[in-house]
Amino acid sequence: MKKTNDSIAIEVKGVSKKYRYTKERPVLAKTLFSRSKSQEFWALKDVSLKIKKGETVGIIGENGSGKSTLLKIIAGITIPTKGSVKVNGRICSLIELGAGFHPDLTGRENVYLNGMLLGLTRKEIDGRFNSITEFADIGNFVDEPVRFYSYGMIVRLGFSVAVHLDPDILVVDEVLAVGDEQFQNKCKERIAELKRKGVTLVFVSHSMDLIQSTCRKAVWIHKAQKRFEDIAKNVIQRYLLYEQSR
Amino acid sequence: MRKFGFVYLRDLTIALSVKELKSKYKSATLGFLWVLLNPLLQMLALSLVFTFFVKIEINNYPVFAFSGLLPWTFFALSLQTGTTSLINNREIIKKTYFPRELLPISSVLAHLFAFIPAILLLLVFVLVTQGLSFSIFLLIPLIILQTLLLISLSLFLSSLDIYYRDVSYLLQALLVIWFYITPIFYSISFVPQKYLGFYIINPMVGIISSYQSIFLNTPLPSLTAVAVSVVETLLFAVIGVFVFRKRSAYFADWI
Repeated sequence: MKKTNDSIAIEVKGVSKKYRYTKERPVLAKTLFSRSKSQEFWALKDVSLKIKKGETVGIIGENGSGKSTLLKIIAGITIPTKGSVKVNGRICSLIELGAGFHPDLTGRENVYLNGMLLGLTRKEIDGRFNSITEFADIGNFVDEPVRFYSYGMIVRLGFSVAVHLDPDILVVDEVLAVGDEQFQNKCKERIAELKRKGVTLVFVSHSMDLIQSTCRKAVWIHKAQKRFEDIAKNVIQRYLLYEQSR
Repeated sequence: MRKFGFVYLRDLTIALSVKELKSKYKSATLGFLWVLLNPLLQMLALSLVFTFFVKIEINNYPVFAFSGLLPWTFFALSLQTGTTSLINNREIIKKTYFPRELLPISSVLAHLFAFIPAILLLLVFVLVTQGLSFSIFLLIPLIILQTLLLISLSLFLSSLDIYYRDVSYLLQALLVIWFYITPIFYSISFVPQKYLGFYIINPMVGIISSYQSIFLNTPLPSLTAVAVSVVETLLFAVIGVFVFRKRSAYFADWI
């Protein structure tokens, strides 16, 4: 591998994503006899992006602009129709807190399941378990089924697992916009800590404050294409100007 | 695409299987007992009907019925939950990245974990009432074969189920018919010779009749049927893995 590539955490090259959708859900019996018509649309068109190791990058744009799709492609949840993505290092994606939490399982069981879905092995969770429950502050509830938890407890537990993932690259979609102020502060502290550790962070957010305060760089995705990419402050300025002019 | 370590895959498979089992039985009062109660009740019903009402000439009919019903229950339940395993885990497919194969695989394994204690119970019963021969060790490759068949079919059906939501309904209807064309409440020797070649195309014929021979300590009725099951399992494994691999990158888009 060339030396220049080593400093790159994520390389997105000419990525396009086409979605196909049908008005009704396809039915096997029907499809066998007639060709069902499907429509298509491009969620991303020829987007390229290079993110260096240890960088914190914000992705902004209107609803439906394609930024979440971009994040899903980076995270490997879906694949691009055209183009390629290269990821250097262990990547964890945080698209929803507590994704896969099951109400009938206890907090403990859910921490293990959720942690594994996000990429940890059982042993790695063993080592972090106490720290996770302490951070989440759920006390004796840890061995109760999650269906008895309050919404706040579920969110805290999900977040706690997420920040204990210890990845090289963390991609985060909007999830930090939940919870009360205290929780928000806890999030911000933890993000600062991750940054110090040299974790590459990619955020998708509507919160310009969050992007401005945490990200060095920002990318503006507009109508499936990359419109502008620069220092966070400049990108936000342009984006807000555009928003006002509409 | 990202590579996953063996330890990680093993841990996650176990965790998903346990989740499947717990979410199914945890809130039920009798819990895991249902795994045994279900086939037990069915066996009672079959035994009553076929020893008192319709007389079927099979020795030790309760053991015969139970040794066919248990693997059949394992088969039918695994196939149903295996087929819907992706749809039922929509949220985690959309929100996290992990090898999707583990969902159908772990839902089959969950039923395997439930099947094994039931089989052991039957073994104890047979041991006490009539004794066992060494042929019981054949149960191990037999269970592996059946599990492999189930995983292969589940991989195939679950990846279809994402696109066509009627697949699981078709399967339900098919399973009812499938029950009757498999030697469960009757023996394979009841099938007229001229239809036998056609009859054993069903991979469950070789498998179920092997269970019956092992538990009743009788010779295998048809070695050809077992060979057909093995060949079909391998065939389905190739098809299942191929289709699943090809489609799994798009699951998050469609689900």
